[in-house]
Amino acid sequence: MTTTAPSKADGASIELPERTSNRAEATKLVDDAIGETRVAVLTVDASQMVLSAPSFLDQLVKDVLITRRVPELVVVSATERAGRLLTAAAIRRQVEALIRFENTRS
Amino acid sequence: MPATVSSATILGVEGRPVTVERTYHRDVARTGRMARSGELRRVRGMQVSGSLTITSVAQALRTAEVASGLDLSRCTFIDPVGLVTVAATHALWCDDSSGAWRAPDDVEVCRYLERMRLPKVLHEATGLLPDKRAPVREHDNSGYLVELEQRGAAAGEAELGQVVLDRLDRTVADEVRRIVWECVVEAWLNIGDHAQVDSGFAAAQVFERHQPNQRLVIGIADAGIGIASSLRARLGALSDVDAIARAVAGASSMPDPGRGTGLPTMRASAADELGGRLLVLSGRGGLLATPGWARPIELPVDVGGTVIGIELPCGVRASR
Repeated sequence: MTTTAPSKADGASIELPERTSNRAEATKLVDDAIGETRVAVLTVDASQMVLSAPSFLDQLVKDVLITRRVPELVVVSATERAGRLLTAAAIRRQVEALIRFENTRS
Repeated sequence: MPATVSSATILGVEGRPVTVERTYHRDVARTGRMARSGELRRVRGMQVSGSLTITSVAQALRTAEVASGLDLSRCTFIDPVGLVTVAATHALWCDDSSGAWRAPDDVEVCRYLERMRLPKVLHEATGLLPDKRAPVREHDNSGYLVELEQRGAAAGEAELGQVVLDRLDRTVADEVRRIVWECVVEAWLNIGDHAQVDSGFAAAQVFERHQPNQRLVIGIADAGIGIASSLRARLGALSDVDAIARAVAGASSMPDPGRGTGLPTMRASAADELGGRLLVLSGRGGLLATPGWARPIELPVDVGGTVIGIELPCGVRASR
């Protein structure tokens, strides 16, 4: 069996859908966006997301910052509520220093 | 198929303790039928007396000698939380698949049960029908009712969340809608993650249909292993009341630090932030959370799996 080293890229991005709910959705989004690639920063565009669930957001933090060890997660245009839930998830997982928010909306 | 065996000591007819042992097969929620192991000594049924709602469960439930498992004859009011409690619990107490459960004497309550499809759901789950029916006109009440339904646990949370949101007045604030979504989705995900059954029951109703007094009551229940059993592997043996308190404080059966946040989030959002209520029942215990306050509940009847009741005032803006 041969293994291939993950390719490297500076960054990748994910656009969150209007509604999010379960953990499997988060894992699939991250898998589709990154695959086996190592990235320096993952940008999550939450401008379309209206409804989100804590489980989904926690899994997003876990898959990006814990499982794939992406050095930085940038969340753009999240609602204040989603931002609070993401921050709480990051604090529980002790990776709050690796998450940054831009253009948070009410 | 793996099964969970549990035993409980209840008071027999003569006042003597009687041990009841049951075997819960994992497909109980699908078939609604529950096999019991060993020789069953005595089983009592469940009786509802008075109003069975999110705030009155402990006062309304009684044990009673009802072979069909359920006596609603003295029920004078029931809300979606009461409906899912009855639906998820009926199979647990049903000892005679040939009998009929007792419908409410109050014809208006009977009509409401029909409208919310309780007889249909119980019939599908246990094969039993009520001893009397109250015909209802099929008119479109979909504007404020989410009729009782047994739904598959896997991947059904988004659909259920949207169905409930569709019942709210358009003027309900976005922040309230987000909290409704969070509560419904997280409550439903708990069934698939923890209850070890493949389906659950859900119902909801909007009371006071117009702003500013609109209230949403949601009931979600399963006939699964219950919270104490779910937590046992990590936390050891706990009473039902203690297990529920720990779960609402963030304890989980899973070691991942991101797990166990569903019930605390529901409490923070529904009760503390919106000024509503969160009710959690499991086994013979419960907890009712209101803003800044949580009251433990001892139940006179084993409700088996887990019931989550949520009441949200939707006519006010969220405080944050």
